[in-house]
Amino acid sequence: MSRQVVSVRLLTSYVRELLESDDLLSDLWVEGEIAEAFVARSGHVYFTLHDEESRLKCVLFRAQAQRLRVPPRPGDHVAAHGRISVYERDGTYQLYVDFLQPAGMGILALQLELLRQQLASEGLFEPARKRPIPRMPTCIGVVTSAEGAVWHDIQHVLRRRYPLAHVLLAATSVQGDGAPRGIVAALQALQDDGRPEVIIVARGGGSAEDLWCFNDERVVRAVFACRVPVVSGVGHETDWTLIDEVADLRAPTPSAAAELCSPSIVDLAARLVDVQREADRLIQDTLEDATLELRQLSSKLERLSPVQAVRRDRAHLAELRDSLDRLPNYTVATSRAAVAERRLRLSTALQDRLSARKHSLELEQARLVVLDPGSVLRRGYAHLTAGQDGRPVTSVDDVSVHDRISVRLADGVIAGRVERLARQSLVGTGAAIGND
Amino acid sequence: MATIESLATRFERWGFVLAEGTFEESLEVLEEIVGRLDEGQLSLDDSLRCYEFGVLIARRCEKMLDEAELRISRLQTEQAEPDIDDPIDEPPF
Repeated sequence: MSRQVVSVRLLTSYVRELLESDDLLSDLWVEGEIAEAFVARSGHVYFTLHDEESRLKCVLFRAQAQRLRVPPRPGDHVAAHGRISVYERDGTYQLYVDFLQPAGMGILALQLELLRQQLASEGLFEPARKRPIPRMPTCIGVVTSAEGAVWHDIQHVLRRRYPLAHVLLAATSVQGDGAPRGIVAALQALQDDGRPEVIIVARGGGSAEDLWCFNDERVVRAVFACRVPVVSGVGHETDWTLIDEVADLRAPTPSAAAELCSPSIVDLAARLVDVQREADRLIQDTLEDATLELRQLSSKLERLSPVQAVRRDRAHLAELRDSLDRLPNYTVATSRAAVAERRLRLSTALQDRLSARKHSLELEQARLVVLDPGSVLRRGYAHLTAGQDGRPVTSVDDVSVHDRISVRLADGVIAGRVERLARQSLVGTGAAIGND
Repeated sequence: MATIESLATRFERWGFVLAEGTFEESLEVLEEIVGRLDEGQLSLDDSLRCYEFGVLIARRCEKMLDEAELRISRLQTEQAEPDIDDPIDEPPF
C-alpha cells in the first residue's frame, strides 16, 4: 500500500484479505466460554466467546448450526472451529464457526470429531454404501506390516480355515507419519494388481496415537474409493478409528478380519458332502420315478394295445349279443316254458291215469283168468251136460239112469250113460261117475 | 427346445469349470446341478448327464480341499517415504 489516503472500505477490505490469506487463521480452534448467544431470524447464531482477558465475536451460520446436537448456550465452555474474517459493515473481525465441541478435548480429538463430521456429511459412512464381502474369495489382499504378529496371525487363520485362498500381501508401515501414504499406496497396489476380491487392512493393538493413521483423511478416502470391499481389523475390540466406519465390514481384530473373509474348510467340506448327498438322493428319486413311470406306461400301453382293444370289443359284442338274445325274447321264452311245463304236467297226469287204468285192467284180466272155465277144467274139473239139448247137470236130480250125458274136459268130451245115482254131500270126493 | 439349448450351454460352462474352475465356481456348479435335479424338469437322460457332471465336479472339489495349501505372495509396493508434504507447524497459540 503506497502512502496515500484510503477509504474505510478499501482499508477494511484490505484487512479482511490479509486475515483470510493467513493459513493459521483460516483453520483454527478457539476455546472459551459462551456469552450473549442469540439466534437471528435468518437462523444464524451470533455469540461471543470470552475468557478473563478477551472477547471474540463469533457467528455460526444456519447450515452449520443445524448440525449441532446442542445449540450454543451462555455459560457453556466450548472449543469452536472456524476461520477468522472481517465483517466489513461493522469493521469487526469475527470467528466464522463451522464446528463446536464441548471444551476439554485435546486438539487431536477435536480434529477427529471435525473430520468425522465432515466425512459423514459427505456420505462416506453411509450403511447403504457397504458392499457384501465375498463368501469364498479366491484372492485376499492384505494391507499390513510385513513384520510382526498381525501378518503371521492372518496367515495362520487363513491357512487353518481356508487354504484354498491366495493371499496377497501389500506391506506397509502401519504406524507413524509415513503410514497413511503407505496404506493408501498399498490399497492402490492391490487394486492395480486386480486379483484380490476383498482387502483386509489390519494392525495390532496400540495406543490411540499408534492407531492414528487409520483416522487419516487420506486413508479413509482411499478405503472409500477402493474398488473391492475392505474389511478393517485395527487394534482391539474397543478401538474405533475412522477406517472402521468407512470399511465395508469392521472386524474387532486382525484375526477376526481374516475369519470374516474366509469360509471354514470344515464347513466347505460339510457343504460339499451335503450337496453330493442331495445330488445322490435326487438322482435316486429321478431313477425311481422313471422306473415307476415306465411301469405305469407299459401297463397303460398294454391296456391300450390293439389286441386288447379287439379283445375288449369282442367281449362287448358278445355281451351285446347276449342281451339282444335275452331281452326281446323274454316273454316268448317264458310262455314257451310255461306251455312246455303245462304240457309236461298234462302228459304226466294222462300217464298216471293211463297206468291206473292199465293196472285195473290187469287186475280184471287176472280175475278173468281165474274165472276162465277152461282153467277150471284144466285143474281136473269137468262140465257135465245131459240130453240132446246139452242141459247142464249140477245135481243128481237133473238126470235119470240111462240118460245120455256128456262130460266136457279141458281137452275133449266123453260121452256116456248114467248107470246109477246116489245122493251124497259135497264133503267128500263128490259124485261117483261111472266111466264106461 | 430352449431348455435343451440352455442345458447344452451349461454343459459347456460346466466342462470349463471342471477343467479349471475355482473351488467356489465348482461348488456353485454343483449346487446348480442339484437345483436342476431338484426342479425335476429334466429328461432322464439329461438328469443322468447332470448327475455325472456333479460327481466329477464333487470329486474335483474334494481333491481341491485335500490338496489345498495357502498360497502367499507379496506385492512390491513402493514403501512410502516419510511424509514431507504435510508439515504441521506448531501453532503459536
